[in-house]
Amino acid sequence: MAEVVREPIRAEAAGALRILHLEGQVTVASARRLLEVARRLGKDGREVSVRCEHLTHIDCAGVQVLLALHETLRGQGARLRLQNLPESVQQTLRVAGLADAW
Amino acid sequence: MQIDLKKFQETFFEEAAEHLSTMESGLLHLEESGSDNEFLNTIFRAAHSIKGAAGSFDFKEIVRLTHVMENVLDKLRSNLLAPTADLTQILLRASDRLREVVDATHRGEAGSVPIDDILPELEAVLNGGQPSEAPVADAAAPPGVPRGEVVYAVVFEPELEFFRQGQDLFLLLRELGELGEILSSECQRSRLPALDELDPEHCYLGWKVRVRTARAAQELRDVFMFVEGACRLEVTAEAVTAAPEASAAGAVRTERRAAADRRVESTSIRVSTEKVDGLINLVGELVISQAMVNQAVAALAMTPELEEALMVVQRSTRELQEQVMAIRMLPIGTVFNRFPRLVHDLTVKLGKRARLDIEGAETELDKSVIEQLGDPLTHLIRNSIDHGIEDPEQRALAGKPEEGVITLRAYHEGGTVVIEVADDGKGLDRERIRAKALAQGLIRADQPMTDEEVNGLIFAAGFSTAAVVSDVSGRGVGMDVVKRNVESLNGAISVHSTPGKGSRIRIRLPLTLAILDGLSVQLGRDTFIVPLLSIRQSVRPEPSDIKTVLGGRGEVFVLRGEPLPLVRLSRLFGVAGAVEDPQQGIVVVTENDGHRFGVLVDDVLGQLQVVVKSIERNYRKVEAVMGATILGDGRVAFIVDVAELHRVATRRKSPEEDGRSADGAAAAPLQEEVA
Repeated sequence: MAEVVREPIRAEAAGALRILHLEGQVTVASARRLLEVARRLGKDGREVSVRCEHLTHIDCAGVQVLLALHETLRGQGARLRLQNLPESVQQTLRVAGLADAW
Repeated sequence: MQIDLKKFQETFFEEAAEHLSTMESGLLHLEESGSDNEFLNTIFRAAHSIKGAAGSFDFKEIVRLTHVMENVLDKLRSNLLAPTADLTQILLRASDRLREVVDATHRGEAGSVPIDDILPELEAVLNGGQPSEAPVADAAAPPGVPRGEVVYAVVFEPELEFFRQGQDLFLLLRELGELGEILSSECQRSRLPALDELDPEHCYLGWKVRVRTARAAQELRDVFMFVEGACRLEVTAEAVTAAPEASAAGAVRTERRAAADRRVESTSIRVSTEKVDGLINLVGELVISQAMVNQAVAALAMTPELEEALMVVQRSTRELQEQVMAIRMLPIGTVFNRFPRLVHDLTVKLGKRARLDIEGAETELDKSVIEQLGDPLTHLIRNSIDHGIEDPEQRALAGKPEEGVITLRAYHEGGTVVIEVADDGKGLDRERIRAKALAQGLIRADQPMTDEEVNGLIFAAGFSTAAVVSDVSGRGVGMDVVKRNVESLNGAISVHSTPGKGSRIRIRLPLTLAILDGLSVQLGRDTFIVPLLSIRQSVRPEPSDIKTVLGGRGEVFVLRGEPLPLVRLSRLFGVAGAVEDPQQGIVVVTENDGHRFGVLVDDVLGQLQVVVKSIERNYRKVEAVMGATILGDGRVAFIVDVAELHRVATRRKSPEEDGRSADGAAAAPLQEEVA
């Protein structure tokens, strides 16, 4: 049976909520893709839940896209929430002073 | 635009190789340097740079190994470990292994080189060397190492283009955290634009991190060493819990040094060799075009203004060429630096004592020449240790110091570079060389030979006098390969030896392979270039100077009573319409490897500097031709390979071959090429 290959950065709608899936490594190499998805979500102006359970690493390029999306959503009265953060990613965000930024 | 990580990775591998060399040469001096902190810092920084960059590419094995090495080096730096011979060996082994891991990763075979055997060795050093479990700050600290803890404010503002460094700055922050306790970390987001204006390849964030640590400010700064040119970094002591003066002063000192380092860094840039080669090629074309313009204009009526303008263009072109060529020049020390390790390892292995003295490491040579020198020099040094330097007991008996000296020397001599590998060992055993050469049929029993000629036999293919074949040398392959390597660089090699006093191998090389000083000679309607380095003189022969030998199969040119083999270049290359009567032509006396021979040409046109173009790359190898150049009138001239010419000319034996065209073997390809 053919393996289903899923886009590691993808968004889907769940009612009024938008779900952003981040998987594997989100780095400067994939930041452009993340930005494309983020811009669409920003235009939507809905609550965004970022699902991070399969995220192994996110670098500064990825985080700053999320921060910019977060700001855009806040301007529209919505929010971005990071969910199911693995411990290593939480630790990175703590060191970077960004654990409470969301 | 997608960022091409491969490009960054290539830079990493290039830089890792440089850092590994720095580490290795530093480690070799570890014992004598004692607790010289600046010295240890250099080694530490090299390991740290590799670790930092490897981390950003997720090269886990490299990070694991360098991390533990770094810890050992850190303890050395803090005087918690002593730089003993055993520790040096362990660190050298670790650096070897690291090189293997880096190479394997470069080949895309990460994980194929095990490190699980070397890590416990390093960890044992760490555990054994630590006097107690107490924190470093509480240990008996030497002067200059802060005893108490300091709170530092680290302001880190990456530049917009920071990501081009290939560095993950979160990893840098985590690394900073490992040096102490992060009291607070503030992310500065004021530069972050709105989502629509954000460029994902730009870095907009900055940090102010407060760290409490017993480490010196420089160690915090070292975390960012790899990205120093791409960020603003400030490390300032805010509060000190003990020994405030020492720490604060240390912070100021390290700030100053870092500023000085930055100044040095900003004076150089890293450019790919392809770009430089492209530039050299273009300048070569420009030189040729300029010569063509000169030749075309010479036929016109020149005005003084035009003449002056042409002179200025000519001068500027020549200067431009010199400047561009200078970009490719590297100090020969870049290849010499690998040999102290070789000498160290081999002497240990063979139970001998020897040191390597390096002179003239700053002598500059073209990068392409330098790159091809490593193997021949390695072989010569191996030979010196294996065959030249005696055992300490034998040396003592001979009244020599127990420690032998191998000297690696480079210097300029008349537009060329000379490299010498000399040792103060037992010298060549000429009797044995002669006997062996006789046994191998290389010489005849009644053949009279000078000392220099006997010495030269060591360069014969398959020649070895080593009684025992070791894995160091003595397999009978090598010296002939060394000679071929040197000759392929348009160089020459010779050996001088005094029994009981030692040997000296002398390699003479051109400064560059891209430009050659040559003599242009005419053959029929064609022009050929003979490298000036090989020419001894040019003579118009008298009838009595030319003799036929071997029943008419060969010709000699008698130069002041000495018969030299004569090569008719026109026959060798199959050039039509060339001078047949030697008295109508010129004999150019050339020398290769101590053997002189005459080359008959129609006329000598003059001396010139030519830009060498590869025929091999564009067509295929042509025998006795090392390359081609384009003349001022746009015609192509072949550059004669004198060493090969000598080989081709002397291997002709059969009358059939001779009858065909004295030198038929090489004629066909070149005629085809000219056509």
